[in-house]
Amino acid sequence: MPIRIFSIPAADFQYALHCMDIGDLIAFSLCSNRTKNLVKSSSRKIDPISAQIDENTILLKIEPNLQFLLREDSFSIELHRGNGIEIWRKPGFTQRDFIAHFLSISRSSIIPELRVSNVCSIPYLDIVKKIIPKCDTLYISHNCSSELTIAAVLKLGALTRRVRVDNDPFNNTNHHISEFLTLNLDYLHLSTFASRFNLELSDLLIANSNNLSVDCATITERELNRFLKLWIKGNHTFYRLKMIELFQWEPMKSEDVLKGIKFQIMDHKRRLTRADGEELLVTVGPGVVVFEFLSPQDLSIQ
Amino acid sequence: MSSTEQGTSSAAPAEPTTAPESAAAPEVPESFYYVHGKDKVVHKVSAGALQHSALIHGMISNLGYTEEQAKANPFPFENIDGDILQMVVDWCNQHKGKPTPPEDTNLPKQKEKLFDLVLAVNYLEIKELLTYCCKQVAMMVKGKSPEEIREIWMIPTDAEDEAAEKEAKKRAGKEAAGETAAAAGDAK
Repeated sequence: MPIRIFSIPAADFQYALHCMDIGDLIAFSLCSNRTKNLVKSSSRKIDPISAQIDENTILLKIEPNLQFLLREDSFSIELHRGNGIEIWRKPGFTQRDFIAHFLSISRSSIIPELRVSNVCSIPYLDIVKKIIPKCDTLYISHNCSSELTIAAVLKLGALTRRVRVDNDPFNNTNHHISEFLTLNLDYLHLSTFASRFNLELSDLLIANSNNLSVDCATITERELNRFLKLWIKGNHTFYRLKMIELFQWEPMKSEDVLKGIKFQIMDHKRRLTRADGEELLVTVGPGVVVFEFLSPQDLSIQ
Repeated sequence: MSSTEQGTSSAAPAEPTTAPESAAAPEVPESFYYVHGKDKVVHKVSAGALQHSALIHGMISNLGYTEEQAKANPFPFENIDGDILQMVVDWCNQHKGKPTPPEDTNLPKQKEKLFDLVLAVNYLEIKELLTYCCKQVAMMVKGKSPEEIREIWMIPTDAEDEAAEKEAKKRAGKEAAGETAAAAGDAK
């Protein structure tokens, strides 16, 4: 027997919304613009969706037991919520509209995580690019092939602020790490200890992310020393770098890294100051080298 | 322990047919009050049961009725259907003097009456029953798709909402114009 829900007193209706589970609340929000706004203005918090590319499908996760699969028809979504599968459609709604709706009711502007977690075809990445809006972090899992990893980072990197790669796509391929280093990101993390990333001075000089972190990097003290000297002289424009973090198997000698360079000791860090006021904090520890770049503006905030 | 009389439309209710609970009679005699809904059927309810309703409890406290006065002046709730008021009275009696558990299986489950029940309970300010009713309203759409929810809760489409909004604006405009014309007439 139907009831006219909007005739119920507002406070009671809000309490009814409060009693609904998240899947039902999302279904309700899709009924009309009015219901969407009611859900947005309610006190219920809906977690933002995370996206996962698994083979040639995109899975949107809200909660462990609440997942939407984007179907091939590009207009409907398949809901998995514990006890079976439902197909949802909304007249005039594409899958991109569904994603925008989910972000809207969770009061988010971007998808926090886009994960490429299994083998998918490289052409499918173009479809992903059309459907998925801005993301915070792109994760490429360890089981992706080198070709897929490189294609995913280059195609989807533009959608994201951060990229984390859990494999080494440059091992035994014609590709070079510089293809990733030139990307304009907030954070690039090459995160695998399964193989080593060989770095040279030229690689560090082209790094275009704010933060670069490489697990298992191989670089000599001499190259790092040359990098620091170039930075001191200021004859290379370091546009964006805020931090370089290199984890290494081989222990480094800090005296070789800082050879011929004036510095001050600050706690366990070495502070290098340039003529224009920029500062660089160097940490050479067992298995790790960290460069933190501080502009005069950063220093005034501190 | 409550009693119900059918078809009494006069102000003074007839004697209830069922006697109040006597097995566990309290030491101090319990006072009773009378309520009726749209159908004028008078329900005799103990003061203890009526304490669930903040509205009636407030009325009783303010009036200071004797039993005779209460019998002669049943509280009229003309905006509540008789069967809904019966449900409310039954619930109040069942939960007299004890708190409602979070999941109360003894509470009314009639979905077809749920909407009216929510309105009545909201009016009578029975917080615990209202909480349960709202949960029941939410349960009506559990596991349903947007289309099914739209049907169950009679949710208008965007087009219907827009049309209603336009209509309301039009009506408001007409009313404003009417008021202006009336004010101009008065000024003349």
